[in-house]
Amino acid sequence: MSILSPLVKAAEAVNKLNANYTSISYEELKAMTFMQRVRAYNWTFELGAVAVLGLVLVFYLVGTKLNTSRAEKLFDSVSQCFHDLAFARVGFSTKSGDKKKYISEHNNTWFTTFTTGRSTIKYITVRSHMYARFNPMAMITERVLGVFFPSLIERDLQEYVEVVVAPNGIYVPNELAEVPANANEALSKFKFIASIVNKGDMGKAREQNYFLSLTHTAESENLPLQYVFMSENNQLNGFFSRYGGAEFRTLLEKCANILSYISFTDLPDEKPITDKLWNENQEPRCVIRCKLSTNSRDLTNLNELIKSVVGIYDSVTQEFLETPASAFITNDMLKKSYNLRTQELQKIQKVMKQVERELAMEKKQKLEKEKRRELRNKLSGEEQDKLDRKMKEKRERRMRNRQKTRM
Amino acid sequence: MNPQVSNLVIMLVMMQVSRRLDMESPDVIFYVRVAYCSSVFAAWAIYQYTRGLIVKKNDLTTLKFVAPPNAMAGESEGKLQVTTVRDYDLKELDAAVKSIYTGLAMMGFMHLYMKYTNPLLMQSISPIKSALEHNEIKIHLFGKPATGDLKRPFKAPSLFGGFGAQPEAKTDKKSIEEAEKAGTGGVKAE
Repeated sequence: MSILSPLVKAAEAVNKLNANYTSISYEELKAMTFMQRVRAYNWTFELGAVAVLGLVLVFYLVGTKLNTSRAEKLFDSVSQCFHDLAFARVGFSTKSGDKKKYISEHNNTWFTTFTTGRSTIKYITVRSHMYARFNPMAMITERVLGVFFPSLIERDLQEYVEVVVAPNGIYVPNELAEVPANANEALSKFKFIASIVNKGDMGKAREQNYFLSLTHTAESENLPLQYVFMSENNQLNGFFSRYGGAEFRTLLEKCANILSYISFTDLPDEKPITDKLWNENQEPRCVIRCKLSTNSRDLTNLNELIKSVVGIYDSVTQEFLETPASAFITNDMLKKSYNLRTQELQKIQKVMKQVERELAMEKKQKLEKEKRRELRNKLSGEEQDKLDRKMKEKRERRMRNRQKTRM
Repeated sequence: MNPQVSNLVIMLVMMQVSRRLDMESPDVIFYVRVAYCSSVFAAWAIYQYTRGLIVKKNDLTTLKFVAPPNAMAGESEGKLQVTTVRDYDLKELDAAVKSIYTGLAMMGFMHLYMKYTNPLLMQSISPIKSALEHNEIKIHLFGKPATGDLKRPFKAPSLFGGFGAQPEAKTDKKSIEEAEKAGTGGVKAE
């Protein structure tokens, strides 16, 4: 029994639909009018194909509209939050001068917005991924594949919102105040990893983010039951209670159904493989990763989270600039962080050197082979035979020696 | 008795039973089908009920261990697993349910496409037996304490005692601390 027999049977059934039409001879068809030929033909298969195409079109339109309406809800709410925080510039401007709250990519599955222009904050970006609702077949296939081969398509399968808040180290109490000169000094103190991670996403978060895979996981009474700390040293766990206070804990509890992790870090999410990448991709920032939800309660909680993080950056930057002696982040903590970074850089450099050595060895072997081939080509036919014999003897001798050693 | 040894014994017994049955008779085929489907459904129902118990219990205790390297995936070092008791239990249960689906697909192919009925009869006991012997069922359904052999992470069962068994997950403090700071996350897939 052929494995393709069901397919062959289906093709036969389709062909059978027009068995009557194909049995009409060429002369008879020629004698018929156009309308008679149209009536004689069975259009069932073609109508089915048109119906499928229509369905694809309907799914495309409905799916795209659904994603757009969800994005509208999310970015309306987030934009309002940015205006509340007094950012100078929210969203994007097109060439024609129109304002856009967000931009969408990849058939309305990826959405991004941006804001900048505020004391202590360099920028905030909000990026969201949504299901490809316009293509239900691909969604179903991804789901089924995900069940049996999770490693194949795990990464951007889920819907999520990722907010990145980057500090600038500049704190100005009012619009007329002068910009402090020691902004870079304050910014250099944001080199640590302190995170709160939802227990349901611990493994995945560590797997997807390089900076989280360098941290120690610790449960704490200072956190709601649904979360753990993931910081590079346990002293840093106090960072949240010091600057966030009791309200932050209450907020975390409210966000337990959407928040995956909130992390203050300076290291990249993707593991750097060269020292150049290591140096280029270090940027102090706070990453808030949430599940995508567009109900008003969750959106309010997300906005509160963003406001809290901005508030934390306000307090920390102000403290770094005005009262550095009483800051929570001490030189001792920064020294530990510096040591960890040095060790990580050394690991990367070690791997790089090993790869370089292997490449050099490969190149050397290639050159030697080339040299031998050139030498051989210069010899006459008799000398070549002699050389081949010599090489063959050498190989056999080596093999014999090896066998002897084994015995 | 070791569950894998008892599986072998059951298989041998069922082979003998199948030799005594007329597998060409439509009545016999019907009853074999009913037995197999009932067994699979019962196993599936047990797993789903236990899943409900796990979700209801919602044990969020953190569980950290270093899983042994997967030689098939070309791994040379163990991978740190940070999860909760609830998620660990659900993952174990999902793996068991997945094995039911895989078995169902294989039996479907062999019985419906290849027209073999013997495997269906031989597999009509093992789904329910596996379900009742599963560690999660023992803990949540039968209320056995999660200690000894039932301590999480579970040991991989071995047919011949310790010989040929898979390496165990490491749970000592030193191994976990080393794996925690290994910086293995965020590796870009090639």
